[in-house]
Amino acid sequence: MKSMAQRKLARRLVGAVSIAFLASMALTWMLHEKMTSREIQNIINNVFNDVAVDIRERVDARMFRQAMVLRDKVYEMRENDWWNDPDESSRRLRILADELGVDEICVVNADGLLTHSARREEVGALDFTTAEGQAREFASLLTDRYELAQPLLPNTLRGEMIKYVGVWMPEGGFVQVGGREKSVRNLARSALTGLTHGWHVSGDDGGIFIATDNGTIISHPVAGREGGQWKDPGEDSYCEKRIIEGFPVYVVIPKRTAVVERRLLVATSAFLNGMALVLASILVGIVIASYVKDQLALQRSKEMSMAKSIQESAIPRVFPLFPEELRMDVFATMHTARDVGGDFYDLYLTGSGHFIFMIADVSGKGIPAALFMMRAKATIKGAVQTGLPLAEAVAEANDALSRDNDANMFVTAWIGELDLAAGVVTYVNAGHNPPVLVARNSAPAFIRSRSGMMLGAMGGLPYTAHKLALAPGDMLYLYTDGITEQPDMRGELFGEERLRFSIETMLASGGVALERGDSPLLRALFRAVSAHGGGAELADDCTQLLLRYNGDGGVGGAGCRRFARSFLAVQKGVADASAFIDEIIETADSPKIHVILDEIASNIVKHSGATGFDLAVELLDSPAGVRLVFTDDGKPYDPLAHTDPDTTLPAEERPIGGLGIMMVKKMASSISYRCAGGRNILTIDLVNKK
Amino acid sequence: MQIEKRKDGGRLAIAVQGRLDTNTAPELEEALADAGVTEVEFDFAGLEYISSAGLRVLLTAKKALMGSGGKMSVVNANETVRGVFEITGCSELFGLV
Repeated sequence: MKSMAQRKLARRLVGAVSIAFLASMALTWMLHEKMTSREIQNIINNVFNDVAVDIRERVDARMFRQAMVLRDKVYEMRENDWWNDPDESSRRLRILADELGVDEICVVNADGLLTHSARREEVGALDFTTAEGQAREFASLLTDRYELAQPLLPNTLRGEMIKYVGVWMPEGGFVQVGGREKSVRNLARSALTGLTHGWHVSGDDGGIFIATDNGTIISHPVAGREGGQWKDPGEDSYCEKRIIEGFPVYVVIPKRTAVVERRLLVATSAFLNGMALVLASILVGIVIASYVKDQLALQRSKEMSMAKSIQESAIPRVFPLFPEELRMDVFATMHTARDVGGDFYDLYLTGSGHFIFMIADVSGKGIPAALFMMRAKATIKGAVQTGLPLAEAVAEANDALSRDNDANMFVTAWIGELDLAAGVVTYVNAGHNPPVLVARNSAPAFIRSRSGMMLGAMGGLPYTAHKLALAPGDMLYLYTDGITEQPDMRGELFGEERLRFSIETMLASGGVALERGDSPLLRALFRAVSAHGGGAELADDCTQLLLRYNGDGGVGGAGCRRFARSFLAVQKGVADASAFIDEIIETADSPKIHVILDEIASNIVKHSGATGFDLAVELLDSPAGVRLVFTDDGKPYDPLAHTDPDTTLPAEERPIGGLGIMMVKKMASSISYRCAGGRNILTIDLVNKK
Repeated sequence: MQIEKRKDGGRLAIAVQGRLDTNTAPELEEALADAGVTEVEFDFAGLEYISSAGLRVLLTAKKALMGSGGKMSVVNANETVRGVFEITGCSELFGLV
């Protein structure tokens, strides 16, 4: 189930991821825009470089053709006499130059001397082997070259811009033709026609156009389209113009082509970005989900502690609960499990000399169980206090709990009503675990009477009350299934028999069952259950209740009265024990009891190494007196096994101390020591001297 | 426990009320730590009982007094206290009156 917080976080996450995605897309778009225009510029530059090489090759080839025509003419002309007449030869070469469409003609002999020229004044004026500038390069035609073409350069003799090409003559020397830019262009024009046919630039749509000065196209990407006027392609295309060998050259790339490429790139990176972001958001989502889970767990544990405090606030926790009521002692403990169950107990005196004690376990866990528990507790108490017989009161409570019980919860309960004068317990079991009767003179045993239906499950059911007579000193042990159903590591439950046996052995080894305000037995049993669980968390609430009937001392003097309490094995414990004696004893023997207490308790504190000691005081009736039982967990020590100090020695020879035990032995009517279950048990009887 | 001290030269009279046991014995021991005392009288009229811890304090005092040639006496002890003194053979030693 998703919480509001989770959905809110998910929405925020999607928002953040979308923004990140859009931002990264915008960045990608801009980057590609920039990269694309750079890319196109590169393409254009490369195309211009390539087309320039081609154009030059064509122009040079055209010029070489004229140079070779010239060389053939020179072979013819030098057979004539006028060849050696500079005026005549220059005049004829001038005519030839016009025929060839060039501006310059030069004939150079094997020595590198300009012997014939279309310009009379330059005949004999230039020695190529020693010339500077443009002419110098042509000297190579005399030795190691067949032909040479130069771009437009300022010529050596006049500085005019001329493009020269030359071809060698096998017998030595060479011939040159040269043209100004206009002449070269006129010559080359036809050579360039169709140069750029089918030359694809960046896909099928781009192209290279070569035009003339006046805009006439002489080379078009599509064959046969020459002759038209150059027209700017407009916004739809990238277009760049450069002048190569005097010809305006245009490279055109339709934007459409570039954009398609860019879109592909952008789409690819969008896909990759999107994938990365989706992955990232999944990861972030997982992190957030675990965070939210922790928060929910925290909230749940808060709810649990609330349920726990509801539960705990509803049960009596301060013992002794009825300090004036000496006819019984009662103590109860509840240890709640992490997933709070709905255990509770209740204890109250009625006006008619009865004591109601009950233990119950609500089905389910958590707040619903805690709330139902509150209701059950109040309902049962209300029914019992009407004064109806117990069985009828329980039936009423069941009817009330069964009504409006939409959650179908129910509660098991064991409810007892002790007649404090007679010691008779009237009880009703509503589906609860059988209690243990711990009688003074027999082994602990379960009370298995026929049980009624648990409360709240179905209305209109009858309940039966049973009776049980308690002798003074008899105890009843009540518990919830958290005790018997605590599993160990292998899943084996603590179980009823282990429970019964634990009670028996703990009491047989001198363990104190019940004191005013505490129950060492219940604490020991809980420790045993915890130990059975291997120290793991409790599987369920563990609730226990121990009741002892002390007898109606005021009437018949039947039996004894017994009080017990635990103390810490420190000096403060001795003082507390002394106060405890004051609480319960007002007899002429009280100073003696105090002296005995002080000796024994201070011995335990000083010498035994015990952590604590228990003191039980029994008021004996026949013969009248007091029995003190000291139990401690210190090292085994029998105080009776030591010889008494010599009291006849003079003061200076007496050891200080060692008198205490001797005093106790002399004051007591009887004293006995035993060691059982790792505990020292010292029993001291003081019988009243009449 | 309540202790009342009256000092008259080298003579110290101490009245002890209540209980003299392990809890209270250190108080009495402290009260006796007076220098220059040669005679001590314990008035136990208000003493409920005494345990061996109290006897230990008295014994310590007795030994100290004997070292300096001093005297010690106990007056007005009740039956319980007397009983303890008798049991432990301290009656004469402590100068029980």
